[in-house]
Amino acid sequence: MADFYLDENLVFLQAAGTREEILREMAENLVKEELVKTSFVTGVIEREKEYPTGLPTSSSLSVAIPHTDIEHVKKDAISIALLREPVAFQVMGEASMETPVSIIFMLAMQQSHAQLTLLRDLMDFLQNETTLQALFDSKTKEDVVKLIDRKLSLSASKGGDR
Amino acid sequence: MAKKQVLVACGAGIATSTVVNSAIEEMAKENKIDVNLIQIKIAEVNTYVDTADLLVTTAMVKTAYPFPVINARSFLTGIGLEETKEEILKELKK
Repeated sequence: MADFYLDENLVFLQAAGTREEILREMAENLVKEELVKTSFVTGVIEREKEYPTGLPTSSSLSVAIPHTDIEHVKKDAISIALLREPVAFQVMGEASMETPVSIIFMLAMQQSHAQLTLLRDLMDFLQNETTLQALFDSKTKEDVVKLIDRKLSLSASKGGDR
Repeated sequence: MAKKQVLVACGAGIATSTVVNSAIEEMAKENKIDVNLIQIKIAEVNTYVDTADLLVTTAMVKTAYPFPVINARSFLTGIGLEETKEEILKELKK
């Protein structure tokens, strides 16, 4: 399994703006970090319109997992934004349902079907109210990275002790 | 019972369908049902329109297909997961 890249440069605290502004900021940052190609920015914004990724959870914190086609990506990475105010996203698989999103996990993946462990961990994470709230309450970027690192199999070498 | 062809689709065919695909794989194994799972982008469903028995997807379906379509968002959120699993099992056992 390829490693998934996450560091403090990919974390946004108190993010604010419209849905598109926030997605653009996160995506352009991934370009700047040389993890994705320039085309990723439009790719992820357009994909969100066509196939929205908002997910209501069992807690009061909804999340979104925007991503796009593999050809826009240079290296597997995950960028996380904690929003100052919830921003409305369309719910995945629904024509006209919105959910107020508080946490965005932007996924950059360069292979199909390859990141099952990480994706499953991420879904487990979303289904756990306590950890989701803990993530949202993080005060520093370092705390976000530490928490995610502990909960998700970001790299194969660290995957054993969950 | 003939082996069912089950399409597992999402927008990009990389993220959410991967999770759903593996969950159905496990479910089929537990129930000793042999299925032919195909993970695709939702835009590719048309290619399988003559052969598929079931479509399980996290994306919105705008087209009418000759096979049942089951929404798979619960595999991601956990909300309503048991109902979705039962719905899928019922189709697989047909």
